[in-house]
Amino acid sequence: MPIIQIEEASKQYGEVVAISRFNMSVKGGSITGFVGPNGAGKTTTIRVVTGLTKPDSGSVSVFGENPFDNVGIKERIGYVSEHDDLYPWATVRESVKMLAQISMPRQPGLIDAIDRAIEEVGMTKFAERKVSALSKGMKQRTKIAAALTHAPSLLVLDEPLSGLDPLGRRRIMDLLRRLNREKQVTILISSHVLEELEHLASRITLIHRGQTIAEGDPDRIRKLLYQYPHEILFKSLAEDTKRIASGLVEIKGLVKSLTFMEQSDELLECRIVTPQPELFYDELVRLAVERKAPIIQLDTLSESVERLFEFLVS
Amino acid sequence: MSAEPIQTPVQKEGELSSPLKALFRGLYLLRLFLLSFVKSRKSQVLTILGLLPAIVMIALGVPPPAQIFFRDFVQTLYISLLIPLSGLLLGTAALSDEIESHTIVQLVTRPVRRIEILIWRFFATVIAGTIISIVVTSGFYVSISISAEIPFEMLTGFWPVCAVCNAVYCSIFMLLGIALKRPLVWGVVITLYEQLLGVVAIFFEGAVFSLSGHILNYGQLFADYNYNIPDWPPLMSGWILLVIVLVCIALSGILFRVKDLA
Repeated sequence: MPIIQIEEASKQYGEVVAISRFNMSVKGGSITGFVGPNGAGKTTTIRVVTGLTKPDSGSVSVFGENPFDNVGIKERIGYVSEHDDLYPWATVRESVKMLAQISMPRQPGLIDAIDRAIEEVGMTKFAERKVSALSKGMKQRTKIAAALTHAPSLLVLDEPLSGLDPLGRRRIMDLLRRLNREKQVTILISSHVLEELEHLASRITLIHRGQTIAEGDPDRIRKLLYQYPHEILFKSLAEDTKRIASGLVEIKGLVKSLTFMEQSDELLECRIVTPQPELFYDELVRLAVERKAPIIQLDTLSESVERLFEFLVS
Repeated sequence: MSAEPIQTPVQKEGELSSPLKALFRGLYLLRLFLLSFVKSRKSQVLTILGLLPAIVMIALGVPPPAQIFFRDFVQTLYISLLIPLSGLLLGTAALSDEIESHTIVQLVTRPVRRIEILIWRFFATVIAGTIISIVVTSGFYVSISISAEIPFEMLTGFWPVCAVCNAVYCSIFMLLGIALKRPLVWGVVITLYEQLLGVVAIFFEGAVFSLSGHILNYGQLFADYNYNIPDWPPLMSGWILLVIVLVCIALSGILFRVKDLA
């Protein structure tokens, strides 16, 4: 049964269309990743789900109710926004406590719930530190703690991993996995980087210009993305680079274009555009091993997410 | 495909009933907002600004008769100018500060109605403004009391007037803060209009159209001074002020209810 059901929802800010006849459903107990480039409509969708804004048309239901008009269902929703929305003058414990008291005034066991939430996000050591003195990762964890005190069954997170170092990202992802596994919390999480979510989410929705362009499990989405021509760079000793490149060119349909760029007397860089990235990586490794040609550097030249999504739309 | 039906809320053991829950939730909101005021630079600057006349009095001395000087000074400087100014700054920022700092998101996404946030924020703004008024008028009273004797009741009589003044200006400026993009500009226009009416009132009956005129007229019920708007008994001014406050809160509530916080 879907916990979140969005049907034909549209929202416009002046001339800018944020979402257009957007549809989405999120099943209970799932982790749904919501991926799209900046301005795709992720935040608007999340705001619609959390009742921060109302769609101009279409319908949104969370736990069977319209979240904009029914504050009662917010007892079952935890929201972590993309902004620094904590009071900077308060400590971690004060922040979590003040917000928890508003959610559940004078509820028995509230203090225990606050301590548990702080512990759950690994902030016990920093509980007396002021929010203004926290790093970005710590602020994110504090916001998650504030969203967890009332034991929500749905947790909505808007780009919680952006700007975090790899360790911070991993901590938050582990925490979300644990919440989903142990407490069956349904999670809706957005990001503009697919790689961040593909190992976390059980289902991914790609959104672009306010519309869903692809939906499915991470494997399906990954395969879809591999259809996009990748520009790959590898560098090795000049002779080795040439030997690997010649091997790659021999495989039919693997190389669309190839450019050599001399780096020094010894090193040679090769840039290849391939329509089959997955196969390309397999073949590159095979050739490097077979021809005993160690690769010094390997990079996927960052295509903008915007272009990638344009490709998927086309 | 139908969405999961909402569970009927069941009151757990030890859990408060809905009205009590709403009351305590409101009190927690009030505490949060008051703490925000205490920590905010704006309140601190306003308090220092309001204490400046007291410092000037200590330095220059009080012109006799001290009691009349004290009464006129509180009336003209504090009630007619500084409190409206404080109302302008605190009122316009009441919700816009929360929106700009995104902290409103933490509140709106919790099980609390927007109207509750608005009303408790209004109370917090009025209480904060009144506390600032009490502190600064007390400072002024102490500075004058150094050289002349003034009955304490003369000071305390002004405090309810300060509270009324804060409530009226905060409600108006809070509405402007929600309704307009540049509330401060319009707030300054209203404050200037008030001052202009104060001057014009000397020549004709402009006080009828002046907020501070009605505040001072109503304030006679609490403080020891005379202010007269012909044909307007003080209580009538009180009703006018109450209606203004209620209308402003109602309009603010309607606008905030539909306000897009994106």
